[in-house]
Amino acid sequence: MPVSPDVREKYFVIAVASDLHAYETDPNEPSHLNITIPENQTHVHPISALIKLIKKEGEEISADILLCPGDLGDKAQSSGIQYAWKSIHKIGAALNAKLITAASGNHDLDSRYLTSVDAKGILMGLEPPYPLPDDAANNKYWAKNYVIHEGDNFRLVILNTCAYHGGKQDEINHGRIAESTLEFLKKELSSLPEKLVNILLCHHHPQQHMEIKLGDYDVMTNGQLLIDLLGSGDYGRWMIIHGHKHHPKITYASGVATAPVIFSAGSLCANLYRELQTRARNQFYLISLPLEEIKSFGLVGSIEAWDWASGDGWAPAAEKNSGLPSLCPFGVRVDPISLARQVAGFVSSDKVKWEYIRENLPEVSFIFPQDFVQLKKELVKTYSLEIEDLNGQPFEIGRRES
Amino acid sequence: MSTHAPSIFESINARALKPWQVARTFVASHQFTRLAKRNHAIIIGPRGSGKTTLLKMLQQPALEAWDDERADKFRSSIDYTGVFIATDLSWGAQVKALGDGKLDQESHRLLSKAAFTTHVLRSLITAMINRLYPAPNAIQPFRRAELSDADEVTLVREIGNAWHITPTIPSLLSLKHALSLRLSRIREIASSEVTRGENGRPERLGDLLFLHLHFIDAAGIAVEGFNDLTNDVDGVWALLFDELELAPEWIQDELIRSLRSTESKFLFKLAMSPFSPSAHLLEMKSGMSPTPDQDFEQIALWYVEKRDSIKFCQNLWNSMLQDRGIDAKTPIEVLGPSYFESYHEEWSVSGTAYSRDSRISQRFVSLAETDITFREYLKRKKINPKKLFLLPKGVMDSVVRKIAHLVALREFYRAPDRTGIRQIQKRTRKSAILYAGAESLFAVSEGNPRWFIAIAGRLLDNWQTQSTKIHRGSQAKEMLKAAERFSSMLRTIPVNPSKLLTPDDGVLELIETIGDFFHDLAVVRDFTAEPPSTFKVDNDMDEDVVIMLEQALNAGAIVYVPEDDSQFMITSVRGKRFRVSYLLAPLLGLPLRLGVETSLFRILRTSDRLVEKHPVLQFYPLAESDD
Repeated sequence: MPVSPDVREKYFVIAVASDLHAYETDPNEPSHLNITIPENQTHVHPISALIKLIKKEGEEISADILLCPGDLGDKAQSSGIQYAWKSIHKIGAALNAKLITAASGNHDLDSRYLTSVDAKGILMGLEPPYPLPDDAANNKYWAKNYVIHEGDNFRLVILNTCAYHGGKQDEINHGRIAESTLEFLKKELSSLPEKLVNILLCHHHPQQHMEIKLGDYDVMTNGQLLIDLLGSGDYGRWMIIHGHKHHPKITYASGVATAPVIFSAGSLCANLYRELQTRARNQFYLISLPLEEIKSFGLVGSIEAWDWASGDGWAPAAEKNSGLPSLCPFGVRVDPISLARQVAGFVSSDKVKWEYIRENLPEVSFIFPQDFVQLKKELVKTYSLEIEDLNGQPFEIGRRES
Repeated sequence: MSTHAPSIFESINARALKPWQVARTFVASHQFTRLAKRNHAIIIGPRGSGKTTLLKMLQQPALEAWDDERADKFRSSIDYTGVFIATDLSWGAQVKALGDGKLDQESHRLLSKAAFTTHVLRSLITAMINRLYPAPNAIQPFRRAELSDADEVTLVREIGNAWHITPTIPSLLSLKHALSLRLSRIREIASSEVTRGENGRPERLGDLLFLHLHFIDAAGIAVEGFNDLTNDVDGVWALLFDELELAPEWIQDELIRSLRSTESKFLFKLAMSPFSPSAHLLEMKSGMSPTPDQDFEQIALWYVEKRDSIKFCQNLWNSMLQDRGIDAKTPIEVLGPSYFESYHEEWSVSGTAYSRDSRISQRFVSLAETDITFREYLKRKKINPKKLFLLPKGVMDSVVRKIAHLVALREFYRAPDRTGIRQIQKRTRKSAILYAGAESLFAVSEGNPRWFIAIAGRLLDNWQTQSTKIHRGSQAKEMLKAAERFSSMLRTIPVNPSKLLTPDDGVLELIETIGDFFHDLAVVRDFTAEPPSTFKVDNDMDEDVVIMLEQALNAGAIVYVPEDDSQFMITSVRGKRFRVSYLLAPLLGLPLRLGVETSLFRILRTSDRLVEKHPVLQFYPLAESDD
């Protein structure tokens, strides 16, 4: 992560804390965030521990904005939602985030009328104002089911995919973006100047996310239409950040080369379903977006991830079975065969530092870890070139000794 | 039998931490100052006493990541490169298991040596990589070196030729990976040789030149090349061998002999347990054996007297508060004074801790009222417990101050003698509140950073109202928990039963028997001013008991009290003096003071539990100094 001020300002950094599921009473203990745990017990309190980590790391963990893709609370327990919203603001303050916001999750709406017939009443009554600090913007969010926040070099769309929860009976089983909302959104985006970084924050996944028996019923209805709209290339390059599945994953959406990056954020502190327990951990993220490189390569960047272990606190994510590894680059969509040919062209002596390759071929820093594995294989197979790693990162490349 | 004893609180074992992680919470002790000097050294301490931490802190990445006011001083004075060589349990076992015990001794030795050499060389290359390519967590640069890609290729090819190894690409990183593969190759060879049999084995193994490298010669070649190419021709490299007690004895022998090395390129710094069969090499005063203070520095990581650990514990305490973002407070402000110490307020009001209303004075009065033998003792000494403050200084120093600690312990545990008749009764030992308070916590942790962090860390983590002191009951609970965890660990140490103990008795039961004896003398029996609280192991002690004590020593359950400071490592516990670890004091009701000694035979033969089962014990001789 960038640290010195002159390096830091070259990046736009987004922190993501998703699906807290804070609760006060529930024998099933849906989350590690039971609001009765004293905050000074940092070893078992995921929020205090995270703030402790942030303060300890200083400039290394800071963010321009903090996003929560929904499910602050669990089963619409208002005390949990209020606690989580305040917690999100504490995290944001520690990160020095200039904007702290969230999208609504299915657990945040009282869609089963447990305490009120107004499903969104708890959220509308939150302090600080929800989801944005500005009441006028919030009124638009509740009226049109989305709101656009314009930053200096970024655009953020907050979409309420639970807008119809509390209405039609089976709506609570899935997310939705209505055709009308799509139209409103399209019209508004058309009227706005293009931004370098474009983020859509929502709770439900816009495309199927079926692995590990996670089910396929709850996908956002009309999600593909949303992907098509944002991926058209006409409104800049987009990243969709969602929660809900508790399964961390990053992919490119289906479509053309300008299709959005889709980041499914893992849960910050919910107890994970049994199917997930060996494949994912509770995670916190920082997405670093290098502004200069984005001008050249489209929306590229990298995600840093930290794992939570109750009793031990937060630590850089494990390389396997955490969901996202400690560092996950993304954004450059090129076949490793093509990239390998270009890399080989820069290896003119017995060995060179990988840094040299990155300086000459910045694209290599922004391919998915899975693509990097293929790149390594291609380099060995076709060019007899081997990459050596140091501290888990590629460090140098050289010709194989005979 | 293995000299390895397990440790409690494994979760914060430095073995699993990277150097920069160790540096983050490191607090320098005076032992580190001695270890860091440019000389050969042996650090000696039981498991968990911080040996690994100290050695790891001499590595370049740790020194670069160390952010402490004293760090710069060390960075400017350390003028060598630390090469940390972990001799962990699995590695030691792997060397022993080469060939599954089916190889002839000579072949096994050859392959073991090759594995050891490879392990050392891989650590050396790692240290070189660290100097060239520092980790991102650096606070301050330390002994960084520069090498062009072309020079690195040259160096690696030279080393490769000398070490008979070809890395995938000509780089140090690749060389390190190749050495990892070589370790696995050595295990393959061992397994294959078992299958192929002895026929033709000498020729086969003789042809594999890499099996015949000597670690110092081979390391010397690499170091010379590195020093020359980085313009550091006189560069010194310190080989830091951790947990040497786990290594095969021949490795221990070889390394202890290395302490005599005059090879100017290398320093040897070895970490060992107090009991080690190889220590005999240190005891020989002539020939090839090294001698302390002439050839090497000998550094003990335990504190015979509790006062010696106070400063280190205070520094550790400050660091823990800082780490938790808690405002600086003294341990006494947070934990309160120890039950055994006088209150500061009492001093400031009356100028003495023995005024009529002082705690110490009240304890004397209270015990005199309920304990006939103590009353008689005071009468003999012509001391009126209600007027301690009137006593002449000589009596105060020679009698009152000397017994104040014991009076506190006895008064706390002992039930009153009823109706003027002497009663041998004691209260239950359930409460360890006696051991609450800052100085007692320091003593109970034995200045052992892992124990101290485990106890104090949990207290601080659960400290909710930081405007008040941590409740003495909570302190007692955590100390008891630590003692119980330690006891459970002692129970798991495998040993042969001794004929002097009952068949199921192991290390824990032996220590409990000793502890019970000391508690009995201090609390239950007739009052004496100096009841023994240390023991000497009789020279003709049963071998199985001796082995249990060796295990107890390396685990930290007993603490060696040397006659002088010249020899901290011992090859046998026979004839040596020990005390029970203060960590067990809250469980056993022991004084936190070093007392006079008694013989272990005396302890065993007066243990009711044992004598009942082994009447023969009564006939064991008593040491001359006893009774």
